[in-house]
Amino acid sequence: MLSVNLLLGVCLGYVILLFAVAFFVDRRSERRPAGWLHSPVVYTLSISVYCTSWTFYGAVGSAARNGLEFVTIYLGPTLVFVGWWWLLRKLVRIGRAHRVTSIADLISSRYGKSSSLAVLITLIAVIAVTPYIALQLQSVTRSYQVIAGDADAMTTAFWVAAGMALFTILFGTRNLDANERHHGVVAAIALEAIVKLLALIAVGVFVTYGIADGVADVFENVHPDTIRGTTDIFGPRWITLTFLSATAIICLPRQFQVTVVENVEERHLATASWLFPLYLFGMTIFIMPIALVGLQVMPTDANPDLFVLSIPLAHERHELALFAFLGGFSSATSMVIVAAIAVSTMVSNHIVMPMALRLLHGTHAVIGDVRNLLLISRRISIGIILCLGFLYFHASGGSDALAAIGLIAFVGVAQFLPSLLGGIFWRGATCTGALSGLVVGFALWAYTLFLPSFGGDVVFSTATLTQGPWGISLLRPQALLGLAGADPLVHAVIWSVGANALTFLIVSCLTQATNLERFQAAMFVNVFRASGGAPSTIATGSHDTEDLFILAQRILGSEPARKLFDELAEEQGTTGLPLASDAVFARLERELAGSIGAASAHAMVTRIAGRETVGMTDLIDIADETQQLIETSRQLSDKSAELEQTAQQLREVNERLRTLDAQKDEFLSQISHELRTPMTAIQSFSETLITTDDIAPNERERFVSIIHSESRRLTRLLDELLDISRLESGTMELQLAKIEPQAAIRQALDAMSTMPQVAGVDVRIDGPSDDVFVRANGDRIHQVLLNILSNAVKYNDSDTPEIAISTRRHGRHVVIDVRDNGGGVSRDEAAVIFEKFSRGSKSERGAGAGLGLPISRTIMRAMDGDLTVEFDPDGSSCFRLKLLAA
Amino acid sequence: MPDQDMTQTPGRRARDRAMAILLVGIALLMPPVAQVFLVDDHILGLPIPVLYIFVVWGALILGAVMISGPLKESEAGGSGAGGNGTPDPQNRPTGD
Repeated sequence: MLSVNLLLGVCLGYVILLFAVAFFVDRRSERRPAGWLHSPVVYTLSISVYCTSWTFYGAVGSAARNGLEFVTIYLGPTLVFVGWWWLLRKLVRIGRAHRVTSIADLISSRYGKSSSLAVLITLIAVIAVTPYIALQLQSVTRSYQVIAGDADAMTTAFWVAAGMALFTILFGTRNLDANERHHGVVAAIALEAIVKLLALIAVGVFVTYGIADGVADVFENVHPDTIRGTTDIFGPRWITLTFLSATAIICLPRQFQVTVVENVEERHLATASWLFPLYLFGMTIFIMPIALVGLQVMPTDANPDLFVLSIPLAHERHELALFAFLGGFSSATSMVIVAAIAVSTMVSNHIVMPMALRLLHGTHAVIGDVRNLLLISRRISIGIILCLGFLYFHASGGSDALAAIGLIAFVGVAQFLPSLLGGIFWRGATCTGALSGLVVGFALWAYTLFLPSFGGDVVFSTATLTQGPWGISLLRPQALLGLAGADPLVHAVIWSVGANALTFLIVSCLTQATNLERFQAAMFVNVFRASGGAPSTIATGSHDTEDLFILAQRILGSEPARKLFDELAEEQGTTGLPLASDAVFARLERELAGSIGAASAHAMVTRIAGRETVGMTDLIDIADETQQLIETSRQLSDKSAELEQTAQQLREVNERLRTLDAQKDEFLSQISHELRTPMTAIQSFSETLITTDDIAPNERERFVSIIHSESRRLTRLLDELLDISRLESGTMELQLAKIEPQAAIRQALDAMSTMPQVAGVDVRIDGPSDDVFVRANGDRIHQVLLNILSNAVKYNDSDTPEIAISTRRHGRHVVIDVRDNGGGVSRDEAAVIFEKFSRGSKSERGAGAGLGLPISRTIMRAMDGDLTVEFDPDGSSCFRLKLLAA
Repeated sequence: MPDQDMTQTPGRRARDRAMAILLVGIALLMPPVAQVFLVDDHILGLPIPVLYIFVVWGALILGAVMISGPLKESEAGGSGAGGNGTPDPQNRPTGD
């Protein structure tokens, strides 16, 4: 048996070594901020803080119980590092550009530096991480008990917690580094990473080749179910666990701390992209052999979770057991230290500092000794977190329930994923969306997984767990809405992460981002384009650079503040204090953010600046606005095309109006001319009759008959005008009846028989038998035929005048062609003869007002027919009347 | 300032290759492909599922090693956006 004294001595020595390394590195990096300590290997080793005692001891236990399933916890991070390092690189770039101090800081900063979001994330982190810390305390305590026999668990755990708190406080809060980096701690973590890897490999080699006879022997008589575990190994649980571990490597506060915040150079990620998976590979390669051999050689009641330690002890390999103990101790301490630093930074930046700011609100510019306050609050936070971890361990009584807590914590921090990914890839994500998603996801996580994990009758009664609260089975925590049959973990992940992501998406789509949010969104999403770009600027108000200087001194310390302001003044080309410009504000805010978080820095600087809003002119610079401008200009050009089109239409309408106006003028002048001619005759003859007494009776009679005929002409003209206007305006309704066209033609010819010219005309009527009928108004068709036929007679200058009238049916219409041998009309005339007051070339003055044809056409059209001039191929023409067949 | 790495071909190509590795890795390690290898037999003394998972894992790491070269080149230009970006001489390979 190992002596307790030796164990304690070695432990003490190891801790002193860690202290020495951390101290040495801190000193060294103060003097020379580069060197081998900033190598990608150290960076990668620090990331391996992922492998806690849960891996060191627990993975073997998991392999003994569930076979190969334990691998998923390492496959997820492997996939992220080999295939999704550019996500990590984006996080690192954002972290650098915005001096991000924690995952809460990054998310809240992205969503408009929202302090409520920061507080919520901090609370979730504390709640998820506390049991995880308790788990580490438990593993150290148990491993100590294995070696030291029946040491009191609580006392051991208490001293472990106290020691870790001391170490964390000493090296995690020695100063407020502008970038929140802890070189000393990182170096100590890297050393621990090597120790735990070597310890696990040493035990593995001993077990495989010392106890068993090589790898083949280990696996020789293994039952397949031991590999497969109890359930379907490559099933939903496999997928869920891989997803969870991939999420954890991104979202766990301690992973964020080492991967993003402690990153010294972006390109270190390139090495970590393969070296970290290789580390995990090394950590897990012997897990299966240790578990399988342990199951064979250890008594059945032995706890598989401690095989790593108990197998060497059982085989009297004390030095190996001691080494294994140190490995487990390293995994536990490194996790606790980094987690405590990460979470305490969040607690002090997002909970303590805002509260202090609010308390000190009244004192303008004098913000108190913030620097000291910060250091104290961070130390107290570390103490509180380890205290909480210890209390949790105490409350759970070190039971086995803790073993499952690792995965429960993973699901808890997985709630950050939607807001985180949405924040850095999707500009539409809003603060309200992130808050809602987190609240929903957190609530469901607590309800479906965290609270039930305490077991029956602790938080939920057994009845609640099995039958649902108040007997409502739909609300059963582990079968929500009847989703039974799934593994509780899979069930919880589907509900919490799924609902979280959906809520986040939907609420983001429904809500509007503030200016600051949109600005930050553009800065985060396009971080590679806006590399080194200025973070949000604050419109300058009435303020004093002195206030800013005092603020900087309080937080950064006098010397760094003096340096910063000298630098700023130099940039402006002035001496003494720089002028308070947007650039100064932005730079100061960024520097302060490195110490106290973006939300607090923003709150402090804006208080001095006196204004909270981001000026619109600043926003124009960013891509978001540029895009909007492009959109606006596109809309403008659309609008201008539309306007152009409207203008074109207006021009056309205007042109038509002008033509119509001219036509109207012409019409009026023609009308007055037409009216004037008979009026003049009537006037002059009647004047002669009145003024002259001695007029011969025959002369008088002639004058009176002229007056009579002229007034008749006048009346006819007015009748025609009235007709045409009524027909055109549509106020005259024509009663249509079934009419025989041949009869109408004969009637018209009869009416013309009194005309002197008709005497010698040869009229031919061709056409079908009498059974052709048209729909027309009898009086009106008579009028039209009379007009056309009389024209044919009147303007016929042939010696042997002939008129041919043919009627035929053409589809739905009946067509009447009136053809004469008098030369017809020319094509030029055909274009105008239907215009009012136009006369054919053959008509002489006074023969008519030129309204006959326009009226005829209008009548025909009013009867749904038409009147046109048709030309034969030989050039001869005819008038064609078209009417609907009845 | 124009985009420093994303427009550079090596960076983008490395990213695309990483994406390919990620998708291949997911396809191989998740059901249904993984279920194909769930057979109760041994190769070189190792159960096939165990061997399969670790071989794929190793292959993924090898793939990552191969693309990390161009990635590092592209990152050399992009780093130092605000830190004390003294370039590290070289990356030391690990002992194990």
